[in-house]
Amino acid sequence: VTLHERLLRLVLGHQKAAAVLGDLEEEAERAGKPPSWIVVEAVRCATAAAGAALYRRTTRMFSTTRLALRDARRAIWRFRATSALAVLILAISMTAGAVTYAVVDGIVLRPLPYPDSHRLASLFGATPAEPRTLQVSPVEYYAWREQTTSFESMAAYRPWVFQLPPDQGGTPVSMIITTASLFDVLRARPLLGELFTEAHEVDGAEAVAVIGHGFWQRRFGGDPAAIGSTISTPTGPVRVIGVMPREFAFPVEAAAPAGIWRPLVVPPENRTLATGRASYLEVIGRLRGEITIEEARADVARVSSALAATAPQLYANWQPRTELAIDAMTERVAGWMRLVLAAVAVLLVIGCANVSNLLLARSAHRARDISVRASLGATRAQLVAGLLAESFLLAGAAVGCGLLAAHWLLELVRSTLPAGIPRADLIALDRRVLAASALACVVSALVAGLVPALQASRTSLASMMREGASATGSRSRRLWQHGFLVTQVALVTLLLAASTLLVGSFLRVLGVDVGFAHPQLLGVRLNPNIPAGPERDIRVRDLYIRVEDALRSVSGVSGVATLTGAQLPLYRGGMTTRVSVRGSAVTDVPADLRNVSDRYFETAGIRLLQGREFSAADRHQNAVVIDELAARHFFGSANPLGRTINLPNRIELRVIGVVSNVRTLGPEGATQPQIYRSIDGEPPARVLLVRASVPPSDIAPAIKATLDGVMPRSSARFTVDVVEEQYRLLTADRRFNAWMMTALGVVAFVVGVGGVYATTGTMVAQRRKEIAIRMALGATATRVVRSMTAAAARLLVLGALLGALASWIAADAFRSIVFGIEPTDLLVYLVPVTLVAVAGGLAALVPARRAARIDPLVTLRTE
Amino acid sequence: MTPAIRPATLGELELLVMLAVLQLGDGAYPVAIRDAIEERTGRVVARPAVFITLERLEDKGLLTSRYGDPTPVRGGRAKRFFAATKAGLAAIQHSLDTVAAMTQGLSARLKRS
Repeated sequence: VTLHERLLRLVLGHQKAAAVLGDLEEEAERAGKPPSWIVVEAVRCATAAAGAALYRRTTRMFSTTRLALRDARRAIWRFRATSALAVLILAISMTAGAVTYAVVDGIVLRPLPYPDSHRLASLFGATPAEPRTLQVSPVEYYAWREQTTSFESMAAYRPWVFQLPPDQGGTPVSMIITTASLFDVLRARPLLGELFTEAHEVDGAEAVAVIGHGFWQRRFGGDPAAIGSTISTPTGPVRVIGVMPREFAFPVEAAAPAGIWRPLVVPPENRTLATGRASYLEVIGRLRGEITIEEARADVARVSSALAATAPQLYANWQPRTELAIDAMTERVAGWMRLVLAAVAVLLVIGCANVSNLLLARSAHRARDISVRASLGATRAQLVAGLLAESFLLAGAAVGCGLLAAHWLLELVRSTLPAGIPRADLIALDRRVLAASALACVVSALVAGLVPALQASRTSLASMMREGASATGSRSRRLWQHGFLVTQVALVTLLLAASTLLVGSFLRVLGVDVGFAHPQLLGVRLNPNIPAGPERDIRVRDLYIRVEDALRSVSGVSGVATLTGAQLPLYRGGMTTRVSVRGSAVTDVPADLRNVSDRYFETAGIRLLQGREFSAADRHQNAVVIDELAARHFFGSANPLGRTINLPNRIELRVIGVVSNVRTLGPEGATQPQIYRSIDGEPPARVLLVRASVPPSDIAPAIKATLDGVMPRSSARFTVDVVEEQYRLLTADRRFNAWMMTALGVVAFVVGVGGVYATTGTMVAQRRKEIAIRMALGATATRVVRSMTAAAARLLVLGALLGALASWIAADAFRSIVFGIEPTDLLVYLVPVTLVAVAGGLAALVPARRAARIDPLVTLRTE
Repeated sequence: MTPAIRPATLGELELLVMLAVLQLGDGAYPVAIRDAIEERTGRVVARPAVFITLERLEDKGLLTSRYGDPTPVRGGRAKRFFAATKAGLAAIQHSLDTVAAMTQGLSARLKRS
């Protein structure tokens, strides 16, 4: 067989190809054409026929689709109430889905904006008291950088926010002081000028800086002449040598994008443990080649333990941590955000199951319509296409409405999002969210539409005609309806169990005793400029006596105290010391140290459990107040009063009182033992604690005005913090996820209960005739109601139990997210199961009672 | 597919091919059809065009086809003969009626040009 014949056969089939070739040979012989003519003509025929066939097939497909869509449109219009309900249900799920996906994607799922960002790792320290992200000292950084082999580059940096001088705009600027290697780690190039190098990292090198695109635009109006100009910073003037491109941002999680990067200068003596260990650096590295994060972690651990072995007392309880940068950045929120996303997916499935049931019920009414079309020659594929087109139109409408609602709702969510969540500004209805919504649309259309479509197009013509006439559901359709109902109820129960866990955790967190009275407390960090000199000590003391006296006279202030060497409770930072107790196993135990004024405990609302507070007489004595945790740690069950503890440098302190433990890191943070000493003159930088008898924000301005009058003119600016705001910040994640899960739980609950109502209603409608016959035969209304509700109740109980079982199985996944609740706590399951069962039962009762009002005579006559 | 209630409308080439099939009666196969059109109208139609038009008309249900006996002159290959169906005849009539309706009263002007 020749090639052209094969081609013709391929397009036309054997017989037609033969006829065409015959025609061509006949003409060739008649007109005396060469055999090559036959080949050319055969190829022309084959191409033309193939083109025509393709055209025919496409137009047919288009017309099928067009007809399917037309039928779907008509069906949707005919059952407009059900259609509207279906769109509403799906739109609610889609809105929740789009909003949640936008939030979770913006914060957790999206990669960092650097080339090969999945190769970036963050390195920290961790202690039992601060298990997450402890800054490290130059000692660890240089050890890691020089002795590990897993990183191709590593950088250390520290952020610094300062105010530009008034002649340079006076605006706050975020500065990152970093090693030059940062730009290698991030693979960043400047837009203009150049980057600084390791040569700038030595003492005495010229002070230079690279500026961000935004800062360049604001401060220099985008003028290239910015290169070479000078900016004043708290660490001295710097000369601008480069401008970064617009898309460059580091660190990403900062509230205000960094405007200035300048070299970090670590004097050589600070790179070893000779001068001790001051932790103020954050470290980021790029993994080498194929090295995994686990290998890097082991590598860092190896180097760190070698380092720790040289100075065990400095590294007691300290562990290095190596995490992928994205994980480290989002770890605070990733857990519950993924849970919320999963909850939304569950909600979407509930919505789909619900819509499926609506469509199933509707297809029962359309059986006759469908059977007529089948008898006129519509294939099953065409019927399924028509019915699927319906669910696609519904889902499409729902996605449209959902995205509109999400666009509006996202503003709300963005403003209620807890502060300090990284990348919150990236949350938007962007292409990724639209793509996810489109996917959700297709999936939900298929999930919601496939079973009803297959069901409706399944049964034989004859039975369809009969069923169409009687309008009762077929057995398999009823099974599917029941299946969807059980699925819905189970998933609602699962979701409610998850909500119960998170809401319960939030309530437990709020119930945690943080050890002091956080409402109505204000804090002011003061750093008065008092020149050095022989009298400095006395002048500092006198100033603070004046400050405290002045504040006590402000109306609304009921107590004032000061502390040094530490931050206010709930604010990060503070001073740690090491405590030993002679003659016991307690040696070098880390403990928080705070130097506090008289009446500190009273002002802060820290409870005195034993002994007494400081008094003026203790000022130069070696008296110490310890907290209950320290008492237990140092002295076990023995009475600590009158006992002594030792600090480094042989300082011996006598315990005069025991106070309640303060959860300095918030309700969920672990604490270490805390000890308090009486304040004594230096240093001038202190934190002022003010107890208010009125709402704190009301007297903040008065406090500020009073301090402005008392403080020396040249002192640094200060702000008045409301401690309660910090408390709200620390519990904000819990508040937010409890709120979010409650919202999702309520929506799922409403949709689910609505589904129970609708399905029972359909069941009743489908069994009208049966009910009428039973009533005609003497069944009472009560019996009818009972039998109808019993049917629904069986499904409800089955669903609720399955849901409880599913949440039991999923309980392990919740473990890292919950607080103060065992995920396997029986109450967690009892609450949703009861809720679902009771509400579902009530929802089923309404249509069941309607069934009891059926008039047998009327019904049987019309049927 | 919607059932054809109105007669199908024919394109110009389709009408020519249908009429040629009628003219040729039992001997309507592609070569003869093309020859008949050329002979009567002087119009040379491309072979593939005739072929796909025939296919389309058969697809629309206006023509049927059957295969004849193998003929030696054609390399032993059978001819494919076409015949108009009832719907085909109705379609031809419909097309001619349409033209007639549109040309009514124009005969004087059309002859002059």
